[in-house]
Amino acid sequence: MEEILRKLVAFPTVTGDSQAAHELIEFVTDFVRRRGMHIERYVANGYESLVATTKPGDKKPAVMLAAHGDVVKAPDELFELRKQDGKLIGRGVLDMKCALAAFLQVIDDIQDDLQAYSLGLMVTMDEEIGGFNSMPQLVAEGYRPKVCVLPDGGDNWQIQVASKGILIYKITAHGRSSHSSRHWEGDNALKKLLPVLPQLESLFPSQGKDTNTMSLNNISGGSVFTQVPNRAQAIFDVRTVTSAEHRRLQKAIPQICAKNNVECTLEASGEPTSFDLQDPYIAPFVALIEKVTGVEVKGVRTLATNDARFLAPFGIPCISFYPKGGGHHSPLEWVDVKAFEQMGAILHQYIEQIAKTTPTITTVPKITKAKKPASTILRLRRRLVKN
Amino acid sequence: MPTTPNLPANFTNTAQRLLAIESIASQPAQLQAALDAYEQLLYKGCTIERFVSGGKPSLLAYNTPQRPTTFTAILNGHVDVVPGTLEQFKPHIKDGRLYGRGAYDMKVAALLLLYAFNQVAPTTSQPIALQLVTDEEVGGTHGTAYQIKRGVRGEIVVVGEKTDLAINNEAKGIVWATFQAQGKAGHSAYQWEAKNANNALIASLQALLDVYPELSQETWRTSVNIAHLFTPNTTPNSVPDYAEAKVDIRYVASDSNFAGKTNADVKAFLDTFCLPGVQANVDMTGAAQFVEPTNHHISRLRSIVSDLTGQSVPLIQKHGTTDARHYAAVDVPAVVFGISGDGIHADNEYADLGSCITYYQTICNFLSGIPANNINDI
Repeated sequence: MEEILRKLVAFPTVTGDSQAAHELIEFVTDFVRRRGMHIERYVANGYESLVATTKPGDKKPAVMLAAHGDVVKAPDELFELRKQDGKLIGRGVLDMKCALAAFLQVIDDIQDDLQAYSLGLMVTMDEEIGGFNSMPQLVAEGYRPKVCVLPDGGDNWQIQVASKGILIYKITAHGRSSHSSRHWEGDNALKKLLPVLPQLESLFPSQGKDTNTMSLNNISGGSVFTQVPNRAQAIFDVRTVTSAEHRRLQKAIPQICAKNNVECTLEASGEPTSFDLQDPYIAPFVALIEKVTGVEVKGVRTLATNDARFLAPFGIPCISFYPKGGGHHSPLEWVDVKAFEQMGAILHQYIEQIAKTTPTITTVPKITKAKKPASTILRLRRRLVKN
Repeated sequence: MPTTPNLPANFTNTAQRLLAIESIASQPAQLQAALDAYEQLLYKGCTIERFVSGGKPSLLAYNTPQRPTTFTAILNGHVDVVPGTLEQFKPHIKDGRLYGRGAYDMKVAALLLLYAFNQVAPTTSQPIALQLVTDEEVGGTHGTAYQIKRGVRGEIVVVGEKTDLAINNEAKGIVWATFQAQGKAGHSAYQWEAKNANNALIASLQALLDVYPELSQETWRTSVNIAHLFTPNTTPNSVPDYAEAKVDIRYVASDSNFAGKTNADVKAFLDTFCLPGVQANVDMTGAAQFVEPTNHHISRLRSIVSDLTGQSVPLIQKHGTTDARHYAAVDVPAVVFGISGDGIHADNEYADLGSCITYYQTICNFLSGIPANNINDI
């Protein structure tokens, strides 16, 4: 599994690098096809994605394993997996190539008995810029799994029970160029844009875990010293705590922009989502995490958003978590070596419980019993049946 | 009494031949060709020093066997031009205007300075020089500034940039600075774990703008233009760890925060506006040009022009810079005085031919009438 992760990390799949994205999709396609999976490939606005299923053209598998293969920008050296002090370090190891590696490992493990599983694998390449191209397209194609495992959120095995909503805005100010030495003959677009920012920030009096937040992530305008910029733009990321707040800000932000004569476009929007740990498809996963890692799963409200928000409106429970690790989007992104192995084990056991089709399930106890007398899988499955 | 010499009969033909040479920065061979064409027009017997720096040729012609420590007067012109349309390099005359790229800025004036030099230099007892360069449009570092570095000095320098026969004794100085903000990257849903480079950068720029607010109209004050803001991060949900801004500052000679300061001083001053994690780097500075209105050379120049035109000659200020700033940096008084015309850096650039005669006669009279009791330390 570590070798798979090493290969995945080596693809410099920064969102928008279509060549690297294509190579990763090709790698995954080849990997799962050799193991008997059936592949559907999609492209939306230049972003490739793939769905592989154990049964040809199956849009409603019991379990969908979903991962995004894109990562945020990083220096070249982060695209080489490093192992140090019990940590695997590299761009995307936590967010979320470790999950993709574990998925591929599970498929590799079950390849000899693939037809006994109702299982799918989804890989998209645009999550880090909001995921607005691929997952909505796949949902529109009709993919409706019973449950989606999407380990892209939460913290240290805590499953995400609620996530903040997201609003990505791009605001643009238009001005008029002139020579820098006579700037009063022009109209500096940057100077029009900058005063809008504090007004927007005033909508976010405190920025923390339990509040709406705003982050100014890109601002650009102008080019050379000698010219007054005629265009300036800013991109900012807003996180909302409730649907009501989400809608309030969605009104207030464009109003402030309009008042300042600055163009405002909503680049992305996703309402806050919530999932229940008692959900019949989530509860077994909780039990497995607790069994394998010893960590008590209480659920966590995460502040980031992920592709789960596109599935939630269809009543599809999504299991989002991160194994022990940290530093996602930062230069020291890492996943704990042991946690990575545990993740593989948990996923495998979950697939055995949930994705195995009914006729085979009846025979499983005997087989499993023979191999593993005191199988946790069995105990958990009984618990699931009771639930 | 001042003489009133006439322009050489073939002036307009010669001017058109010079304007047809596409002497733009990206064509070094044409820069050389233009400079050579001017050199061939110099009177026989003058001394010519040729310079090359950074691939930019320039020359200094004078009327003494060796270069003196200080010339009584230096005439300065540039023969490079900004890029133009193909048509602009096919000059033509219409309604008393000579059209073509460089007609106004400033190949025609450079030719007139050369004619005036040819007229006066062979006979005057004063050491005078003509300085022709080919890099003014790209900063003047390798032309005028280079010759100054090699020791060229004058008691007064007349730079022939366009002024419509007015006299420009004061120009703003220039500072180009890049503000760089270093933060800490992170996911913007957890922004408190990161440090947003944009926020620190914008707050620093705002502090600078609070002291130097945007000018809503032409005002003789230091001006600040935020010319460029750039965040390399393009991921909408990542907090940027780096951002930078390019700032163009034009300062007046009386602004002691900039005037007469070293680059290190200017950096230290700009750093006072910077929040932690932000720093200012000075990319380029140019001295503010200022010659006292009472300077006797200025007085003479003004009276010569007004004698010829019958009109009073205004002293003007310039927000932009010329090669005069390189002399200002070494405390050599430099004034800018040029012909009339319009369309600078535009498609309809032209020189007003009527002003050319006045200009030529003014420079001749100015050079020949320089009082003999001035420094002369050949």
